[in-house]
Amino acid sequence: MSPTNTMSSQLAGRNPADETAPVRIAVKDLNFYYGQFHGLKNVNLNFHDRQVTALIGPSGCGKSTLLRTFNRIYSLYPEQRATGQILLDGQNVLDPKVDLNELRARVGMVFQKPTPFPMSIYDNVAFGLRLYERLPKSELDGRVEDALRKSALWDEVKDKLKQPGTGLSGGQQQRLCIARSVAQRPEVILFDEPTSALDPISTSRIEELIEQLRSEFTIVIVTHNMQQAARISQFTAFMYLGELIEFAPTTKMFMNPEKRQTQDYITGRFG
Amino acid sequence: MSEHIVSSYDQDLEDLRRQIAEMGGVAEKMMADATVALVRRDTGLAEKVIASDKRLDVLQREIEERSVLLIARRQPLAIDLRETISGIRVSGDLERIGDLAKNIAKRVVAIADQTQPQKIVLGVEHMSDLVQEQLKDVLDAYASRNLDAAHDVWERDGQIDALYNSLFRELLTYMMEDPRNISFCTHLLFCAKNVERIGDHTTNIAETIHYLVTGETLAGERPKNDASNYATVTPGA
Amino acid sequence: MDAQNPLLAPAPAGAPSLRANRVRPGRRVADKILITASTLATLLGIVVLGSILLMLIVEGVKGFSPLLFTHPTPGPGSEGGGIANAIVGSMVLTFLGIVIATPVGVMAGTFLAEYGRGSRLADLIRFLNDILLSAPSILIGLFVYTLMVRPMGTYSGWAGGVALAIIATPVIVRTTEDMLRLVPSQMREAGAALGAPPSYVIKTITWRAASAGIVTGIILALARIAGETAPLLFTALNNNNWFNANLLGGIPNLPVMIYQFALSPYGNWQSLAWAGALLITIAILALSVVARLVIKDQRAR
Repeated sequence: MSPTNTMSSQLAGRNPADETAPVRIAVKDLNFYYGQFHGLKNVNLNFHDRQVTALIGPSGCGKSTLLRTFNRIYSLYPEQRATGQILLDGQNVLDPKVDLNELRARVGMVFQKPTPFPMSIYDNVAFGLRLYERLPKSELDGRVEDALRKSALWDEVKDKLKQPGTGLSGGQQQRLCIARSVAQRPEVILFDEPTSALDPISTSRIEELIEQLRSEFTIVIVTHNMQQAARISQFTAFMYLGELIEFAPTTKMFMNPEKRQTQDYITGRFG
Repeated sequence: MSEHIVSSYDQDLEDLRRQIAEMGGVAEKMMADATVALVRRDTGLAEKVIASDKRLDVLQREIEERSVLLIARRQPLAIDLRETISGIRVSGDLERIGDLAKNIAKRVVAIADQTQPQKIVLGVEHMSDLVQEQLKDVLDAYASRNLDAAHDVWERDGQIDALYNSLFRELLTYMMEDPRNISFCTHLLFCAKNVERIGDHTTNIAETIHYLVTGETLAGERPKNDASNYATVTPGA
Repeated sequence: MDAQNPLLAPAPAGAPSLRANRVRPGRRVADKILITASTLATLLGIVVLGSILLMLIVEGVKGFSPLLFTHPTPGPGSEGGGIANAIVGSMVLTFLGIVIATPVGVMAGTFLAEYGRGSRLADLIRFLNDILLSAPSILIGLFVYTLMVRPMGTYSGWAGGVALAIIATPVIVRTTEDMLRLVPSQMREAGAALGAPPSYVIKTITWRAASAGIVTGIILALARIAGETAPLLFTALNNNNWFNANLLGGIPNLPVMIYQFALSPYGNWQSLAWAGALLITIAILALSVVARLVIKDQRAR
């Protein structure tokens, strides 16, 4: 009798978890504080190149907090601080000497609510490009089109690039925000519950988009929707009360998690 | 296992377990009755076995529909998903066990008026007793998620195969001794084959239990001792 | 279980309906009293305001003529005349006031909403601004009098403009801060997440997102200072002639003109005061309407 794991990569669908993929982000002994509150406790975790990693867990478990350390967006708020290491391609992101603006060009972020800027669709996408690069108009046009195509929005907006981005539907706005990130050609894209404000059809479009973006970018997504995590991610991390409870290939996580807490959470037995 | 936040989810899974338990009970009873009917050539009991197969079919359809609904409605994950899938599989096995028991009962009706020495039947009865025990053990293991008990059944089935093999040779010998035995012995041979197949289904259930508990499939070759595929008996040998 | 619940108990025979029984009679009376009281109060307000407006329109229209816009205010005892010098003077003064107040107000509001968030300094500034918002305007007139009129030795349009600016600034600070606060913080985070420094985010994103609200605040401040009289009494004063191009000396303006002419014994002065009052009211109404349109336009987007 020799039991074998059913979750072998061949069986895990078209997008198997590639555990041999190089590590893009290595989180080491990460602790996070909101003033006195200890938000993340000794988190150690690796994110693999060109894989989608989902962070799941109940509200307040620290999954969004973890996401917000990767581009140090938390530093907008003086009372928040992080200790430990987050190595992006070997470079510690938390090092005070790191140029935040450069870091954020390398690590894009998409938020829960679509946040189109109050300007035209074109200017929205070009926003990040105009920040530090002086591109000739033709090249800028090309980059904008490229980003919109990669975000599956080009066909819908190519005739109205001069119209305000706020005039688009919720799902289109979210894809516009993705395009804005993609235009900067980042290495990593962070998604913070990108579909929780969208209807099911728009949600499917975003999920399809994330699957396509995976071929070029390393993706980390925070989601409350367990089925969504199961559908689009290759790896899943379950967090609870600021701690990383379990990290495993998604198929393993949702068929047969190691830890009791994980099982209770994903099967709806919590509390 | 603690309860779901949604209590009707627990109720759904509980209903599933209850119906599988009921199917198990019906299947066990059918098999026991079919064996008794065979030994006593009791056509009345045989007819009863044939009739109860309907109930088993109904239960199996219900379990299937229930499980499909449960998947659509609750999108079960992890242990819940494995339990739902296991429910569908086990109900399929139990339904087949019912069919095989029914087939034995039909043969009882066919050979009821034949008077043959009782000792020919005893071999089949013995084998059936062992398989019934296996069926009971595996159903208990399923209800209690007892991995060890399931593995035990899985390994025990090798004996059944060996028994079937010797029975096969024995019946062939009877047929050669006296051609008047042929019709009776052929039916008996099919009965023995059915019992052996029921044994196979109990091992399927044991494998399902392994999957249910561990999340892994039980791969690798099960101990098989059925050599009847190659068995021949030459006259006068 | 139902039987134990008095609310769900079956209605006694003869009761008109279950519903009627569930409300105490006292509550119905209290309800009627409140409705009547608030209706009466509203009517009172409408009647008072309506009669003021009606009188203003009747008297103002009587004094209306094209001469208003072409002739300066007449001297004492002379016939006819217009208020052209006061209209132009008022426009110059409010323009001056708003030109000074807008940059100061918008910048201060931006500091409060963006940079000074949660700091003690910002709290203090906000508190002082609120006091300034409700400070008596005559006091501001006196302040500018000591600050500018005395040292300069003359009343001037400059002093009037500064006094009006001091009144307009806290209004603009307040609305700017409020409007910037309405911009979701995710918008700022999104800007920062693309690598934009805070100043760039404010310049290109938050100001733009709050633009309609800020403009509305400026227009409302404009409406507020267009009708101010008290601060001008000590600063711009008045003048019955066209004013100097360098804005030194008394500057004719509508509010002070109304104040003086209304109190005068001359009939033509009084009717000019009515016409001026109507003109100011129309102007302020127009500004308020424009402010509403701007806000509506923003909401529609």
